[in-house]
Amino acid sequence: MNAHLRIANLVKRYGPTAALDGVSFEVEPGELKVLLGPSGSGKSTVLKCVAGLISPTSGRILLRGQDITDIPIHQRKIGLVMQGYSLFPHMSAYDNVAFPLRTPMHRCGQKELQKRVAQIFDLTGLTGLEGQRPSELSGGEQQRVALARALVFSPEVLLLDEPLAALDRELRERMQDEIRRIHTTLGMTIIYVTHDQAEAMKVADRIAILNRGQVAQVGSALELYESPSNEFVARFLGGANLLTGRVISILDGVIKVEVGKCELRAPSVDGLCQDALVTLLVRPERVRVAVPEADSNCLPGTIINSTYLGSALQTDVSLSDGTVWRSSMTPARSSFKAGVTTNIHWQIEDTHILPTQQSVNSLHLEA
Amino acid sequence: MVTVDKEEMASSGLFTKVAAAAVAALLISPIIVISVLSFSESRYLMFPPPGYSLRWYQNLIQDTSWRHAFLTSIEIAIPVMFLATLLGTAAAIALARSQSRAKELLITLTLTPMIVPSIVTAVAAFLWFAPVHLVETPIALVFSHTAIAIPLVVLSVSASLQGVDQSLELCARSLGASPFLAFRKITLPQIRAGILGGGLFAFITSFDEPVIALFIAGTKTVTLPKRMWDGIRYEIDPTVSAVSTIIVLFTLFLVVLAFHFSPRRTRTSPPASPETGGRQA
Repeated sequence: MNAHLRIANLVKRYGPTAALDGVSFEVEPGELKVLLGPSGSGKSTVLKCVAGLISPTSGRILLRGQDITDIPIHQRKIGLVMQGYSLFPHMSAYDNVAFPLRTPMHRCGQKELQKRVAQIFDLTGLTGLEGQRPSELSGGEQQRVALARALVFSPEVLLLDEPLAALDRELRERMQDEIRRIHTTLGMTIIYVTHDQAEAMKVADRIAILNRGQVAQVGSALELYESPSNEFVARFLGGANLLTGRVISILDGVIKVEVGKCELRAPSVDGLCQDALVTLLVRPERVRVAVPEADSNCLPGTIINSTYLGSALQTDVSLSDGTVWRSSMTPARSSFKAGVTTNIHWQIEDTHILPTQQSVNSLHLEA
Repeated sequence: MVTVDKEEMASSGLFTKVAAAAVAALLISPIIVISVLSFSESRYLMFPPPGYSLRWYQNLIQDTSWRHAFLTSIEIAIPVMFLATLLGTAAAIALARSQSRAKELLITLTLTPMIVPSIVTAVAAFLWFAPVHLVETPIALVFSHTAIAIPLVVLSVSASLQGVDQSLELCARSLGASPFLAFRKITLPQIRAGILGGGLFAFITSFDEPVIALFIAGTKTVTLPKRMWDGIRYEIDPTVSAVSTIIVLFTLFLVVLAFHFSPRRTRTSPPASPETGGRQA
């Protein structure tokens, strides 16, 4: 077993409601794993279980193969940066960062302590702020102190709970780079919780998407965006145009799907048979309005609105059954007039098939 | 409103000042009268005094019963202070962290000794300690006074706990501190002022408590308020006014002490760091 941290079937119940309903995933050594999900999906609960702040109803947490589920918080050697940073208000930045090295758990000699605190101040760009109280530091500086304090005792794993949520956008983007840099420098195994999909894609090696206390999918940003394994993931990570249809033929790696009166083609996937219900996913960037292409899928529709965004032209098109598809074309051209009847096109290989759990859209498209 | 009526503001400010001065005079004048009386040369409590002397202070020092009473009060107030501080602080922390649905009820129960009339507490204490032959002992007074002093400590510590983020202790634990160390290093320094303040209040409560003392003290454990009661009741002794003056000064000293321990609340605003300064600009 070479996983650094393994979460096995974690369940946490509060009365009848389950905050975690069987969460399992692994974190490789030196990996930055993002837990991504909407609020209430259980991502922070997972983190609190790993840190030991709450104990799970059932399930195991294994660190290097060793069960730590029942080990008290202070003996876990796991660094934690909580939402809001939890800096000690009555201590200077230096004393905050030195705090772990003064506990019996991580105690070291005075010289060693000074060396390690100086090193971590240098790494996190805090040098010069040693004497400041947390109340005298800016949001970004407080964030760095919290990070430095969680790193100074060289924890096995670092946990970050929405670490940048309180910062403004510009600072947040700078700190994302900073966290990536620190991650690369130290080779630290990190679990990073966020609800922001753009942030997740930017910092993560791999992302685990959580929904209603369960893992919806685990993979790299590319895998999750290009081949989501279910509708939730498809919708949560970027725009998703979806249609449900029936498989009418499978030939030479291409399947034909009947959606209402239209026939659409998609690259085949394993385990499909004739007459199966499938959901088709097309990302907005792949959909082109009124630009015919050879050998592509095509659907008629009416333009509802068209917005010029500079970097892209965003157009919403209503299909004959009322479903609205979005197209995001680059480079942007001048926008379309609303109410105009047109065709939308996309390449066959840009059509992804999701296993259908339930009917997403009607089957009554008119040709 | 663009223009503000300056005259109106000034007059309302004047009214506030006059009212404040009147209330202050009402509160302070009895203290001033008793202080002046303590320097009287008359052996009757009459105001203004016909002449001035230090004879009542002299009497206070020479009369061993007064000295004993003072020492007895101190001997009782000190253990009360420690007991009430320990128990009250523990109770305040437990109440702050309680997730129990009966939390409100528990808070009310903890504060009852402050609400119940002291005469009721005194009778109850007497009936409680009489069968076990503890009436007229300092132990009975220490326990009774501790009971009425605990709510003051609970209130004081609870107030200072309000400003303490409870997640800080959990955070300290994740950084390697045991539960006790996390409490000692993180929570305790932040509520120290509340604990010291509560402790001083507990001391003062016991030190000037007359009602329970009347029931329990008897003739063997005479506290200062009990001795003062006797002084007025049987002798109309102006020494009482000298004692009162000393108690006022003593209490004033304790209050100043409490202020000295409490952290500076209005710290000068921190210099804006380049980052915040830049963003605000």
